[in-house]
Amino acid sequence: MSFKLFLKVFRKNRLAILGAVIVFIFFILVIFGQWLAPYNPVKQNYTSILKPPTRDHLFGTDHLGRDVLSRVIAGARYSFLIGFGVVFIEGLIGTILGLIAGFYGGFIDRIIMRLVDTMLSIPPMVLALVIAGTFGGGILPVILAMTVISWAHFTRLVRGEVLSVRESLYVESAKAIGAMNYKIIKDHLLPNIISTTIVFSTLEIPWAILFSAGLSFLGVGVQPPAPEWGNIIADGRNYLTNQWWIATFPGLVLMVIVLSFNFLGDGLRDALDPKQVKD
Amino acid sequence: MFSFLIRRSISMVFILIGVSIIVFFAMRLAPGDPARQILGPLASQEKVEELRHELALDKPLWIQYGIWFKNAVQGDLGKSIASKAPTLELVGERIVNTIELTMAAFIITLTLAIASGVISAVKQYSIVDNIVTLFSLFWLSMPRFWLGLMFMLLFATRISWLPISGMGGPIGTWDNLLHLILPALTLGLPRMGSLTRIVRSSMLNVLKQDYVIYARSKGLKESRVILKHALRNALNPVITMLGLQIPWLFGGSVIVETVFSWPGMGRLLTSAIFERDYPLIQAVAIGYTLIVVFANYLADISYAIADPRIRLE
Repeated sequence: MSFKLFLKVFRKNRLAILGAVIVFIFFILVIFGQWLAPYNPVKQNYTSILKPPTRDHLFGTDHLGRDVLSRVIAGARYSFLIGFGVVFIEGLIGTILGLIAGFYGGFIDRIIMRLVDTMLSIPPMVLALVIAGTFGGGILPVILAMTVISWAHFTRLVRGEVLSVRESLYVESAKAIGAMNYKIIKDHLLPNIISTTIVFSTLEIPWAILFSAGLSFLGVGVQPPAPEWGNIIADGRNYLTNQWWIATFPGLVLMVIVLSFNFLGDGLRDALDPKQVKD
Repeated sequence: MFSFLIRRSISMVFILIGVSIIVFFAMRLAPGDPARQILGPLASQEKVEELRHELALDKPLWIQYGIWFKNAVQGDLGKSIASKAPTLELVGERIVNTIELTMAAFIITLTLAIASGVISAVKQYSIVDNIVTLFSLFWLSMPRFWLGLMFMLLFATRISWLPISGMGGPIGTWDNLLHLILPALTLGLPRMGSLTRIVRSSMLNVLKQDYVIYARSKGLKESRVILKHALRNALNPVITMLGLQIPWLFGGSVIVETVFSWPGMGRLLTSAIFERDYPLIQAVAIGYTLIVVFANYLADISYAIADPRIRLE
């Protein structure tokens, strides 16, 4: 598919454009947040504790006098690291296992799929809590826990794609002229499943961002005082009745960013596969 | 049907064993000595060694798992380290509360998703359709814990309509149902997003079929065509999707239980994790898997009922 056609379809989707713009702003915050934040996100200031939103503190301040806006900006980095980290590793494992299971079939396929089915029967939050919790929280345990719970459905998706491509004529012909297995996988299967994989990954990122914030909220994710979004909301929970701003603003930002990734992912899906009429 | 039940029961056993192995090793591979963590840094080394021996932590991992497995088969999932009560009892007390919350959420998700999915398919590309599509993405992007807090802020503190935490009284009492509303909405609404999309696309697909056109040309009322002829057939992919969503629904209940102090398995799990109560963590994980597997089983059966062409074999 040509890049021009992709742009043409994508540009028509106004929500996808909006999503792309907000995701772009998110990246700016991830890279330059340190310099854009009005205050130091972890510095406590006992002269301005629990201040409501004003011009000085747009999102108000928390129980230690820290500026909530600055903490939210600093939190973008954690979401980015975990979200993209998880999806990258998950996608890598899922693609490799899915290719193996789908291409070779037979015994290997049965083993992999049995494992996938078992993984898919555990409530993901339960297993993630156990892993992240026993490993003591922090970025790496969170990435580990979330990779463990998410590789299975990626594998299943890739395998499904491979199964449908495997029967096509060009794979048959490649086999007929005696191409080696890894050549067939690399030259014929991979290029044909890559766009599905990209779309699926884009739609996984918002999930990963939400889920990691949930883990932090429960206290097994990134540990305080690090300004992770789930952490800030958990802090704000204790002050919900009278200092509503501490929990409200970070959650709102989290939702808008996740929503933007979803808009973008949907737009990409439609644009990368124009044959498939929308629904 | 009978052979299906047998085969599913066997695979259920395998899944349970698989989950117990995964959780067991995930816990044991974590750094740190559980005995030391339980007793605290001030306990003497002898005390720690004693406890390690008592919990069989001084044996190789496979043997530890073997001991656990042998007891589990005999119905003994061990005692909680923190409360000394049998873990089976602790889980048993909580499991019903989790099921109540999840069922309520499930009903909310299903009703709203089918209603909005059908409307949006029937009025394809209309304003209603666009709003529904936008809303389903909106729910999909909702942080559940934050939604719960916002509900509390709005309905329970600003306008004192609904209670904000705990579960009121025993299941089924009026007070309990009032306490159920906010947690069930918090758990159910975000799940609505993806399901609405499935209902919509499945309906769109069915509405193009010959039998729907035929039903219309027979002169049936449009509402009857849609609700009887189309919806009935559009439900099959929806049921499949529901089966896949079940683990996520139960997983989400962990967060909702924490937000609303709902005394279910999720809260038992979070406190067990902070106390490093390994036998209890293991038992809760088994409890969750059991209900998820059982719910999937029900989904399969209802799949066959909804579509008689499918034979369970």
